Amino acid sequence: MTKLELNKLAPHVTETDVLILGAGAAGCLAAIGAREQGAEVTIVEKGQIDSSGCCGGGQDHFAAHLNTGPDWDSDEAATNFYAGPGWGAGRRLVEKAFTTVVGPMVKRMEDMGIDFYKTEDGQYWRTQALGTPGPWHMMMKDGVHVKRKMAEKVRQAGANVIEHVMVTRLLINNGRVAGAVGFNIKNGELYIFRGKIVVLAMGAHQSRWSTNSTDNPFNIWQSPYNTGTQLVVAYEAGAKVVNLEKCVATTMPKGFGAPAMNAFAGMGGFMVNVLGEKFMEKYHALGEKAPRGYHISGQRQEEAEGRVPFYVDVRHISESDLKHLEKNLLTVDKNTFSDYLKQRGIDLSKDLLEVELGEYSGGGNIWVDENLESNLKGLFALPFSGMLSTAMCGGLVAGSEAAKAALRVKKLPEVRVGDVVKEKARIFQPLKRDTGYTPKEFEDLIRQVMKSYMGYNRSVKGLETALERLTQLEDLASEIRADNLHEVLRANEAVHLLKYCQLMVKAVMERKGARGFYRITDYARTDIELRAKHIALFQENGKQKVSYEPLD
Amino acid sequence: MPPVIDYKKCCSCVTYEGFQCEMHCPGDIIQTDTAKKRPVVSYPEECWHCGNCRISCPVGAISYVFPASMLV
Ligand SMILES: Cc1cc2nc3c(=O)[nH]c(=O)nc-3n(C[C@H](O)[C@H](O)[C@H](O)COP(=O)(O)OP(=O)(O)OC[C@H]3O[C@@H](n4cnc5c(N)ncnc54)[C@H](O)[C@@H]3O)c2cc1C
Ligand code: SF4
Ligand code: SF4
Repeated sequence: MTKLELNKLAPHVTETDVLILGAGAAGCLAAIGAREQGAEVTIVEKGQIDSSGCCGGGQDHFAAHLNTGPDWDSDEAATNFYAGPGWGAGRRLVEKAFTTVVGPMVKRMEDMGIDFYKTEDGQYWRTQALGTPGPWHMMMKDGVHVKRKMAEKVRQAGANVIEHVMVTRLLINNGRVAGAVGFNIKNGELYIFRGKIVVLAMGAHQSRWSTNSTDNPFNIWQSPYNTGTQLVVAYEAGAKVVNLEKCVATTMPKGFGAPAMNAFAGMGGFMVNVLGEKFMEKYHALGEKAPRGYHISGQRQEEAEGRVPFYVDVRHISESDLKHLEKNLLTVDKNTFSDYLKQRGIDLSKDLLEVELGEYSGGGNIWVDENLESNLKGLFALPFSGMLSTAMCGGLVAGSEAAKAALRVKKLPEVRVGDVVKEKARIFQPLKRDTGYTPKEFEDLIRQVMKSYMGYNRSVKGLETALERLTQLEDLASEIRADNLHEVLRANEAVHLLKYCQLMVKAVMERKGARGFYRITDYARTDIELRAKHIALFQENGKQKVSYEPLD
Repeated sequence: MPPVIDYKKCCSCVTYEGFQCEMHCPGDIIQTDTAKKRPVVSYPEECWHCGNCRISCPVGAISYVFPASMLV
């Protein structure tokens, strides 16, 4: 199929060495890494790269060990922290995609114009939070613009940047990945991307299946605009997806989908229950600085014993620390934080801030080998993520490895025109319907099922029921209607969300035990043997398969 | 409902593709009102409150008013 022939099908056909899908922190650094190896790069993003993704509106902390001497600041400590079932990556991959990369990444960020706060004696000012073995959290100056600075570097590096295009499917041919299909959300034009190598970077957290007390699926902590594409397109193309059963939640201000606990804890804030009692130390020696899971289990226990609601107290911290917390941390991590405080009438120097357990955020990533290539030839991804530093480091290494592989590929893989024709029809099918479910109505059905069976308390029977109900929804997916392009976008997101939820439920069943912030009544303990393995879901000849991969 | 555009301040700033607040919105919440040739907040209930529209606005025309559901 020549470019001219493909052009008849889609007005935009792009050919490149390395095709990067998704331009959050990981995708941006992948583009930079691939360009540095001399490969041609095209990067595709649903939003605009200067502002897209979880860090698009700003970010306050960058967690890094700096090898300054103490054990907690060493490579060994970093690898020990991230390797294993918690983060879901093996030691070798952690070393390759994070431990050895994060030190130079700090320097790289400074070269990008991202500076860090320093103490009076010129050292990096670092705080401790979220269970890190020591004060790893460096604080960025002008963190509001961190993504804009990354994007500038991507453009300067000479990557071909394609924005406002939603990727919907990977193209495969002869057992390898050959490209991707997407559409422009503003004008509806179809895009065909052909790449020697494809890097997937469409997000580490998928949360639109769960809600907090406001019941608004967009008012959440992680980006609501990631709806599982990363995992779904990989799975459908034959790649193994792992860590799908991982599930996190966070403590957030009452009714406001925003992270805050790392900043509060880092600056010495603590949580109290309705009786005014500090309770976190009952659940972990690090108190508020404990890993996120302990915040959740601590609050669950206090809740079970009736000591709700909860509050964060920072009234005791110094005036200058409070100013730093509000101005440089909270409002940088979520740009509208101070608007929220103001409209709620809260003055942190005098008032307690009510907090609550937020919605669930689902995990998942692509299984990759030591070169960050998946089992599907030509498809690369980062091995784990979830923080700014892990996304940037993993992205850089994935991009760099992808470029080395691309430079060894002589000929651009062919794409099958029939696949594109089929996908084009599928993408725009909702526009042809006058009746049926709006994307929101359809998504509400997914959330209804997930809320019933995939909350904190789960059981095998409930998971089986969830799968059954989600399968019923699969049949209804062809009845989603859209009246405009925005609804076509939401319709395609909803279809990915449904598939993602099906995969997630299946993975939770296969794990035979809790892995994250929930419990399964039937399994008091997680199966020890399974704990040390990845549960991988993949497709072979259209059939779902499960394999167990070593977590080494 | 967030965000709110103050049309008295808005200068309809356009980059190569469209209004800056619209282009920077990761959720396609802000769109172009073609009749009035200005941006419009079409889907306020799908807003993530990320602040990108305000950060990108050169004249400070954007503010946020949270719905009652976030404040009760
Ligand atoms: C508000 C907030 C504050 C945070 N604060 C911190 C912090 O201070 N420190 C820290 O270490 N971590 C923090 N985190 C976590 C950190 O930001 C993320 O782990 C990291 O940025 C993830 O980067 P990513 O590139 O893997 O994913 P994402 O940022 O999610 O990027 C995925 C990209 O893919 C695009 N995409 C998705 N689907 C499609 C599709 N179908 N087609 C095309 N493009 C698509 C998305 O638009 C997005 O740009 C925070 C997260 C949030 C939400
Ligand atoms: S706050 Fe963010 S999501 Fe909401 S309209 Fe502005 S840019 Fe879009
Ligand atoms: S960014 Fe500001 S000035 Fe530009 S179109 Fe939007 S509201 Fe108007």
